[in-house]
Amino acid sequence: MLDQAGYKSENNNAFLNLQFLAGARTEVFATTMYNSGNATIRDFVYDSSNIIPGTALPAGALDFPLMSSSFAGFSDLDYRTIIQTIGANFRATNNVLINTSLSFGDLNDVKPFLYDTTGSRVGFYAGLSWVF
Amino acid sequence: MSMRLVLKVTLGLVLVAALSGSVLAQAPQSKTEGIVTAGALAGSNDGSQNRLNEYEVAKDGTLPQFGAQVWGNNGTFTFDLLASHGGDNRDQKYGAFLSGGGGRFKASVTFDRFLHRLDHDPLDYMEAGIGNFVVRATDHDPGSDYSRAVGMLNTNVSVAATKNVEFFVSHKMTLRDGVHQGLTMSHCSNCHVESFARQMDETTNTLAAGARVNAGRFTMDYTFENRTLDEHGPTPTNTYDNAVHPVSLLDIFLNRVQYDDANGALPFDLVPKQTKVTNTVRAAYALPGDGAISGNFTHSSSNNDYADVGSTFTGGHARVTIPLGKRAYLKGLFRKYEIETESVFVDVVEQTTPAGPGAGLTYAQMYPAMLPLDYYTESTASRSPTEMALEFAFRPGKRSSINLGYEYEEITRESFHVEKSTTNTIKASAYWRPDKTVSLRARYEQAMTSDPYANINAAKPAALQLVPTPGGMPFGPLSLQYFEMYDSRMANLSSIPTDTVFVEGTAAWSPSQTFTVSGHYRYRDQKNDELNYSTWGHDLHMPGVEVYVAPTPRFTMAAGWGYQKDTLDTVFSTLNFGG
Repeated sequence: MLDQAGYKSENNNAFLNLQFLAGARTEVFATTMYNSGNATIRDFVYDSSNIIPGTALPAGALDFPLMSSSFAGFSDLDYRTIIQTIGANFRATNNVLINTSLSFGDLNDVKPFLYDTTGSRVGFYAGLSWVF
Repeated sequence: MSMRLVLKVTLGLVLVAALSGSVLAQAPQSKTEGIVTAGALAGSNDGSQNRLNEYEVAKDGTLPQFGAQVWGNNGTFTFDLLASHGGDNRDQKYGAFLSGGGGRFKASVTFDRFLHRLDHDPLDYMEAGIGNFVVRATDHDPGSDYSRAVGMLNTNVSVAATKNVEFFVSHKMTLRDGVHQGLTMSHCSNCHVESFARQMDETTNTLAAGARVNAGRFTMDYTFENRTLDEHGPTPTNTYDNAVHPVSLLDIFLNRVQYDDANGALPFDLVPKQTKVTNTVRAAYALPGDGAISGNFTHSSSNNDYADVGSTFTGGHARVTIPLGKRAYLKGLFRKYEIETESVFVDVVEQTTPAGPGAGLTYAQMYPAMLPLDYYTESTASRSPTEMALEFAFRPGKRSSINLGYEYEEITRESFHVEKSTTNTIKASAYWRPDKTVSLRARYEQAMTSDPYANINAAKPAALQLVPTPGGMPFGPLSLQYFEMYDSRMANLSSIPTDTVFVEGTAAWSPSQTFTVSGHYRYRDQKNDELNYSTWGHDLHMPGVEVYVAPTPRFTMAAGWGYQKDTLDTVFSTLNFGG
């Protein structure tokens, strides 16, 4: 059995970076990254009528139902990811910087394949830098 | 902001500093500069982190963060030192870069260790089948998260012994330790996939050494490289299921497999020790004017020490650049190499069936038409390519350039049906700045391949038996065998195009230093219409746009969007077999 078919994938990436000097000692920044990707088999028409026309499948046949049930949804993917970070750097003295940032990441596995990879994370960083 | 992100920027600064070490070394004043950072990263996770943070520790909780970078010189040496630790031993990076003697001595050591999360296929989509025909799965380690830590240690030292001779040596070590999913499968009576936690402890060592000679217009260097891959983790084993008839479950199918439970525990997912030795010689001569001629020769041998099977690479290239006045030049390239892989003799284990119609017989004794069973494998990697290229470049004005090129490639093989493939490629590109604010680029390539590599008679077996075998049993003169179906395959398959067209356009407009917009579009169309039962094609579209705006000195904005669409046309083929 042989069928002309195909595979299609689409990927969108977008980013936005903003930087603002709020004063002589303060920098505020924000970065946004977005990705959506999907892929799937297309034009898959593995139906029994094009195997051997007019011939019924043997009652115990395994190959056709197994193949047709698993191939049609093979590698059907749809991911959407957004990562947002905002932060500020403050120069306390000429040698000391205070760094803070808050980040949020979210991945939505719209069509889980093999297993669901949907997940999110919120992170906050605070630190002190000494420049010499 | 993660510490690793901070360090990527930091490491970039260190590398720039290291590359300029010879310049810094000439500075007589001693000085030391640096930055030390300490902080904490608190995180809260929900759901899987396997895709979102595939290479990040991203721990649920709080981790200390530490980073330091110190650079400067003491009048004799320049130095750059880097250290960071993300509160987890799978998130650390260190580096030291030294340069002295006016740049005649350079040394660097770096170590980077990071986490790589790995997939765990739960195998819960199996259990398909009809009656006793079943595909089933057993996960012996359900629910576990798999990951590995990757450590990379790089050391480089170079010494200029004289004004004309330099020696260099480097060592790279890559360590991968952790647990990944190991899969194996029993055949007959049913397809039984089994999943195990597979420990891994791999080490790749690469040692390279050589010398570089610089004598006026002539330069030459030689490099020797030795690489080994060792897996120190235990090779897993599995005892396969008893091979029985899929419907009756009688023990009459042993001669259709090479091993089953009677053979006991057998290894799977084995990582063999591998070695590779490479010798490379390169030379270049600067011709009067802006002309140049260069070439190299490389020989390498790779070996699988477990199976004692290897391959060799022998090849080289020559390149010449000839200036044609001040506004044009002609480049020529000739490249030829050969990859030879040893054949492997496969001595098929022929079991005898304990009972049933074939009792005491091997499969070949029951069906002599299948002979011979034993065979030699050949690698598709074995090939002899020859490449030739010509490029003509011309600058009609100060703000424009035109490049025209032609390439010829021939690939010959000795072990497969397609013995020779040839590709002719034409290339053209242009650059134009109509004024100081606009720049335009365009590129076009077209490749035509005759007899691209293909798997001959790979699919579409003939319809040999249109009615079920009497009694549904796979024995006797009326029962069709799998090998008879495979032998009747008629369709050729290939994923190598006969025709390729590539077009790219880029435009940028920058009316001031505070505003820039640019866009690009890449398009590639590949197709193979020489296949006998199907067509193959692959289209790619990649548009994109970027904008930079700085409306005030205190505010900047950068934004961009990119899109990629891949469309593959191919053929799906499977046997339709009633068991």
